[in-house]
Amino acid sequence: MFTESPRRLSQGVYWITDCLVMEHEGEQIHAYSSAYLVHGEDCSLLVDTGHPKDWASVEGQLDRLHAAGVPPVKYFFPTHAEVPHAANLGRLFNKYPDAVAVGDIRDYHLFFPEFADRLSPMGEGESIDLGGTEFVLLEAVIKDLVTSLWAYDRRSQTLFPGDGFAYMHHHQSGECWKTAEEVPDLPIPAFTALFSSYALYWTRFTDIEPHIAALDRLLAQYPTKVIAPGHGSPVLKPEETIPRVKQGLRIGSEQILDETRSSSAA
Amino acid sequence: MSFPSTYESHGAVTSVTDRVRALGGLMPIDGSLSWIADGVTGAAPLHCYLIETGGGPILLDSGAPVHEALLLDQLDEYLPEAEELVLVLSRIVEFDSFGNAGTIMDRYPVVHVYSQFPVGQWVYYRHVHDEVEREAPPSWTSLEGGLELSAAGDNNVALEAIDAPLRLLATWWFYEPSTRVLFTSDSFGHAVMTDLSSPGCVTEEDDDTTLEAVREHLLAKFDWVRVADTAPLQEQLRAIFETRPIEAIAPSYGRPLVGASVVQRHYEMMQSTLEELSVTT
Repeated sequence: MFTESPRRLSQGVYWITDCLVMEHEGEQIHAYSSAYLVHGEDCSLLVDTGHPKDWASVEGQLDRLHAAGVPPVKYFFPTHAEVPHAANLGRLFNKYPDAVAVGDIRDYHLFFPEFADRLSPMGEGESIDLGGTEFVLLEAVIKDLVTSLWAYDRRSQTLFPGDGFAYMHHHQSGECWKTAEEVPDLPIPAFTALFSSYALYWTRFTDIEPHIAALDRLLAQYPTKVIAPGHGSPVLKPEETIPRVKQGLRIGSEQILDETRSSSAA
Repeated sequence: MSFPSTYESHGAVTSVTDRVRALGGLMPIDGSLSWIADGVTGAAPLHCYLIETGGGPILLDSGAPVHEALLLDQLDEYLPEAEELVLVLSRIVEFDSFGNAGTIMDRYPVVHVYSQFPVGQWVYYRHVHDEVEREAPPSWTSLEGGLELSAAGDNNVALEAIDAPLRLLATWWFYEPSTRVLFTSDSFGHAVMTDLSSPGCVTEEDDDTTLEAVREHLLAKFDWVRVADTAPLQEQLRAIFETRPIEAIAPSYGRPLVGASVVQRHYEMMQSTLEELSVTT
């Protein structure tokens, strides 16, 4: 469990995280279940909620931020209704009694019925004024659930891509809690391909290129200095890391398509 | 209007076979359910399934918390008293599959859980869960394709785990060989209740499901199919349906489809839809 204060990634953007341990080919690897606090002059917004096993860690990190003067959380933005992204929403509603959840909030009333009156639907292109910065909801160009959305903080030029930019990291080599560029040996293409094989099932049956083209269009429209993903290490040098992520998406898509066709033919 | 305003509290208990009972409740189709296609009206059943075996009961999935009180009442009524319960979760990453699992594990003698990931780390997610002190979680087995699952009281095969061919996230289907039921988790959920007089299950006598309804539901839930080469999916479905006798399809959403002829019709509609939508990559 992380006991440090959340890491500041940019002006008003903090990385709140812990690791989920996985085994792959006999090796212990980690994937983050990250949340991000974004604050303006008036209030804060939390992107995703962290994994349920990490609640004590998430709450501790939030408390340390508030102790340092970060304003209270007024908005929660779960990128989609999957456990590592949304599970602590009820605990957060309980912790911040004046906050509401925004986004494509269909289905959430089934999972958090006691907080159904604090779900506020917002869609692509809509935004929230946090005071000195604007938080904009975007189309999720790489996603799993139909309710997925991405987001962008205008002041810090930070993109929050949910399940996009998803790759693991090694535990043994001390890669936890570092940005993508702070770990030169991090095999981002291979780990991006591996994550796709686990979590982005649709890539087995579809052409990845239109999704990469959609990502390019999004990045052109929203100039990005920081990328804050749900599972991957945060990106502080997009020009270095984005090509490696695209390479991984292409490798994963080709590997998976070949395997799927081979097993189907057999 | 065919539904009372409080029909969230209307139960959706129905017998699928003499060993399989659907539990759960209804939700209004009012634009708040992501898996329902535009233009569909009525109510959507959300089910979990209580399976009786010679070795004791198995509960497949646990329903959504909006139906927690309803489901606990149903379990109190239908669960054999004091029998050790095995819990199986088809999608431990999604709340409608495991949402009440923590509460059920706290209240009933759950002795073993089958799921993709370790149950103790995933299912306690609600703030009310933090108010309960508990000992170690029940024993756990990670699901994998072909795994044979048993009830607590014997080693007979009660369910076979099948890697779900249609899915968004980590999802498992299950086949129950005794009464020939295929549990399809979040697939095959296209049959909703048009009013409260709709039978709990779709049977040959009242099956008015159209190909268009199957297509629209598939695209509402699995939008990626719109741009997919579905040939491998069709082959995987064929391998499941044509190698096992199936007399009922039991989905998490929607009415169970009961009867060999009904199963065959819905299987063929799904295959036809996938073939129609397929693109070449």
